[in-house]
Amino acid sequence: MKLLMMALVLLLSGCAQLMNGQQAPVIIKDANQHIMYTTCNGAAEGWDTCATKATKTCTNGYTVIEKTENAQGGFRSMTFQCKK
Amino acid sequence: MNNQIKLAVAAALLAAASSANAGISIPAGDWTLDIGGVVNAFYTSTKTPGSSASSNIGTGLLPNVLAVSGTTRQNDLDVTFVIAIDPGGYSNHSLSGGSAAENRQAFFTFGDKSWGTVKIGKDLGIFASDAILNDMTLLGVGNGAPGQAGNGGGTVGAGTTTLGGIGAGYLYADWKEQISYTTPNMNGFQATGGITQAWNETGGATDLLTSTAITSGSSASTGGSQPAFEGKASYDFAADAVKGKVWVSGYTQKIQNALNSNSVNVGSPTATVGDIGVNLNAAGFGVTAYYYGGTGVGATGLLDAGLSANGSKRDSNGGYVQGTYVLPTATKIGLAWGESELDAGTGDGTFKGYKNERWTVGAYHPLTKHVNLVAEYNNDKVTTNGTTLKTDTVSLGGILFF
Repeated sequence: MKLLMMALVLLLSGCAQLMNGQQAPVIIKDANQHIMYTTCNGAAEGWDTCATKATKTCTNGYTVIEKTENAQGGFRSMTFQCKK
Repeated sequence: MNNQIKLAVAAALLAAASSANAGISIPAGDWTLDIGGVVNAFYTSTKTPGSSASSNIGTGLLPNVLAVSGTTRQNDLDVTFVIAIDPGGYSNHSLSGGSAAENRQAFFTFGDKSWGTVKIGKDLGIFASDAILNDMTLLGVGNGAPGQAGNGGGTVGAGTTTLGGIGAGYLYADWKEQISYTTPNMNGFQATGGITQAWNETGGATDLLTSTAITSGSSASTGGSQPAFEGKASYDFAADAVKGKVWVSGYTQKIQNALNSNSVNVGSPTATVGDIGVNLNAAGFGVTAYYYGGTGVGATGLLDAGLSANGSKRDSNGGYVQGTYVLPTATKIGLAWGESELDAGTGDGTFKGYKNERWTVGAYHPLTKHVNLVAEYNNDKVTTNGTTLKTDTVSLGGILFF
């Protein structure tokens, strides 16, 4: 019974760690110009998550400077500038 | 003040995540080189009623990818290149050398933000490219897992990869030698036009990718003196609450010296196809709707089974609808339906039409910012001349991109 409980605890803690999903961060490219960069690669992220991260980063909105997408595998990146 | 705080937070993120960019960047003289790619594998269990399940492990809709790219600025021009190799992962017997490999990309570009970009070389086709790029199964499995039976004998799929939604919602854009021009991004509007390598119409007794029994015409002279012509236009928008994209694209090619199923020359018809799609996102929800229609192009691969037994053009159409939602765990769940139809053409005789319909349920979890875990269930129903073949596929695996 103890072994079963330990196995259950390990399973739940393992699942809890796996469920802590991680998205790509926003990175500063030019602090003076408030220019940022982020990626939204893969199946779990998409252009919508790139846009959501930009919205959360820029209180006054943002302007997209460049969006790139590689056809090979859902590589997506967005460079944007926060409005002042 | 808020902006300053957020900038500080972003700076901290930068310090904590030193290599968040895709790929590994290497300064090399005038160039900045980037090594990037994809590694993926999936366990798949495919079952057709009345037969035992087929369990396999292989690559999904994407092969593995190792891509080397470079960028530089020379003579007031942005210059880039990409060369990639794409090994598959599936093999089913010893001494097979591992698996098949493809060479999908080898191109360079030059241009400037002020006037646009010229691309020369092999890359994803222009027509229907947004259809596959918006397919949620692109980084999963979808249809055509190893061992999936076709409705005419044989197995579905190209071997290196599965099919995702190809042939059950959209035509495959494929990888083509091309010379194209893309406009600058004008407040979200962008257009691309170009010439691509003309291909032969493929036919014979079965459809190449779906292994469906369809007797078709063919050709052996590609486009003769003409290339294929492709173009697309898109508009990206990002309002406060709703973000999305609308696109259209088209393709046309002369089929020089088309042949009927008895290899008799029946003339040089022109294949044409167009599509339209929209993707909308709001509050974690995403919806994609897509439709295409054409003649002479087939229903799975471009110019595959597009001609009837006597060499006349067949009409084809299809589309898909896809809904996704991002859970608080950052897991994206999705439900998709897609269908492709190929109508009988003049002189088809026994062929009365073909329809491929699929339902896909998927969960895509970002384990880390570079690793996704994927679980999918795919239900496929192929109907040819009134005979239906149903297949259920469960897929579990993961994909890493760097």
